[in-house]
Amino acid sequence: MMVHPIISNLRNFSVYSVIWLVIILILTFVDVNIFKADFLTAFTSSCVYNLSYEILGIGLWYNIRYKNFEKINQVNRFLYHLTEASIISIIWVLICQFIISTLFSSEKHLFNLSNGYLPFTFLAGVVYYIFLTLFYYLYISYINLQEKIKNEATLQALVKETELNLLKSQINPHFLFNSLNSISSLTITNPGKAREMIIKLSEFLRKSIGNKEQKMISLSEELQHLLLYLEIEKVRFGERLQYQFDIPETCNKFPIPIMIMQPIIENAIKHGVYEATEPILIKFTCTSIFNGIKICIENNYDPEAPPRKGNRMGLKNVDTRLKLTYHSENLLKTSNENNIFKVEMTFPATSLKQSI
Amino acid sequence: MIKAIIIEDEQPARDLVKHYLKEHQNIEVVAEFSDGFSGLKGINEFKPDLVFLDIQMPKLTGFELLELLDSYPQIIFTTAYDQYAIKAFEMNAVDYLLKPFSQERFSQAVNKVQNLNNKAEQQGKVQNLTKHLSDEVEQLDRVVVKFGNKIKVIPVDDILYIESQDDYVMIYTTEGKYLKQQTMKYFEIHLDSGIFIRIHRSYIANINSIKQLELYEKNSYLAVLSNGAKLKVSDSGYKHLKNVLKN
Repeated sequence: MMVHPIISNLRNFSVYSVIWLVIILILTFVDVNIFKADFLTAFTSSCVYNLSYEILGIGLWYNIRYKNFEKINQVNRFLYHLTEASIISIIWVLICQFIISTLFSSEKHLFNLSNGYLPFTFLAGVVYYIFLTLFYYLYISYINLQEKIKNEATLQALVKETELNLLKSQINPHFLFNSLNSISSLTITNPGKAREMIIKLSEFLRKSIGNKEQKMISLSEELQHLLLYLEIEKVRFGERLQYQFDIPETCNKFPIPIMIMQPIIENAIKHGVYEATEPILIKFTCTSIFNGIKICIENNYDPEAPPRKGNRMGLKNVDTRLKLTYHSENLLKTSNENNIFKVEMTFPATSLKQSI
Repeated sequence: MIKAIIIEDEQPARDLVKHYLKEHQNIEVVAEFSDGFSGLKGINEFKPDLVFLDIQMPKLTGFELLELLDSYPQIIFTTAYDQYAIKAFEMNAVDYLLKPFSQERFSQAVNKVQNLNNKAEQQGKVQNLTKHLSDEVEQLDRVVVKFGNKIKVIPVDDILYIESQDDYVMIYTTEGKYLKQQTMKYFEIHLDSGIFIRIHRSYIANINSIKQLELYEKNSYLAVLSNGAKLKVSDSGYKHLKNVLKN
């Protein structure tokens, strides 16, 4: 709801009144010095004209605010205001004339004098109208702009949140189907292990599917989740999949975006374990750095395996997610040396609170 | 007795196939392999009648393995990926089992093999099936070729150009040239059309390997490649080339 720009608060009304007072004094000064009127009459008539317009001007707001101008084209709108300005000014001049003439009925000369600048007063009325109307228009567009900026900011936040949700890794259906196939096999060869795997898979799914709202998670919890995933995959790949965690106690409580490492592990399995007949070791290390932690995930791979044009979507998503969460660039680095693929992620401690 | 081998990289999946086969006493598993290379060798060595074949495997995928065989046995694919079903049937697979599968579904597939004396009928069915399915083009990221007794896997980026040679194509890379039984049309469809251009009836060239175009005769060009080869460019090939370079 748009309120009146002048009378809605005392400060604005005071400023408005002061402006009119200045106008009254200037016009009195002009009357006295140029038209040689005596001070009292000049001041009184100036007050009558300007104070009445001060009140009229406040009313003009409702004329602009509540008229449905959107449906009227520019030319018609201009004509409308022109007509209105003329009519209001004429009525205003006539009423003021009447008041002044009543006040100073005995002094005939003055009445004549004021008659002399009738067109001038009419013009002043039009100018007042133009100024006030422009001011109100400006005010309305300013308020609209503010609102638009606010809406845009809300929208942007919404877009960001949606984007972040999309980037959260989704459960790979092949992982699921292959795991179920392994379970199907284990029910025959090793029912106990089958049961164990069903429990692990359920736990993994519950955490992956359930965590829609949660955005940050402690490193130790995230690693537990990853461990579940790795243990499930190990049933499929056996000796081919090895992993090792080197996480100092001090890092355990550190908050990181939930499931941020999942795509990296999936890549390591896809490009490492899928393509190799020899064991692939996935190594996790964490170090405390100034104002945050650094997590490094590396895996060896079969150098003989021809490079698959794997989509780098997974890594790109992780990068975008880090950027959106921490408002900072270059938090993800990858390197590929001596047949070891290495991903390094920096998690700053600061901006965590304001991140969504 | 039907001789079968299992080519599958996951131990539990192999165990399951063997367990399901207990109901089929006439099928004997003579060997198991856990990657594409050893599977290929295994097929050549054991000459099985039936192969249970996974698709996603180290070294060679199930499809690449089949491409390298001159003639292949009956194939039952076992995979968690449903997007390869069309391609599998195009390769005349007996069946395509989606993991995880039941004993009933498995037996159904195996029984098809046993009834396969009627091969002509089977092929007719397959053709019908593939006709109704839309051609979902899968882009190649590598090509496998036989090279003497060895197998060579060529990443498509390493291909300079491909030359048609009757029923075969010759694939040229910086390291050498490799003959493969395949059609030009196949490569035209399955290679990235933004990089591999059919510049002539006989040539598909990697746009990154073209150094320059030389005017050969009036309105006729030669493409000079990074390895020095000069290939004729046809009118339509020239248009293709211009279109791709413009984008």
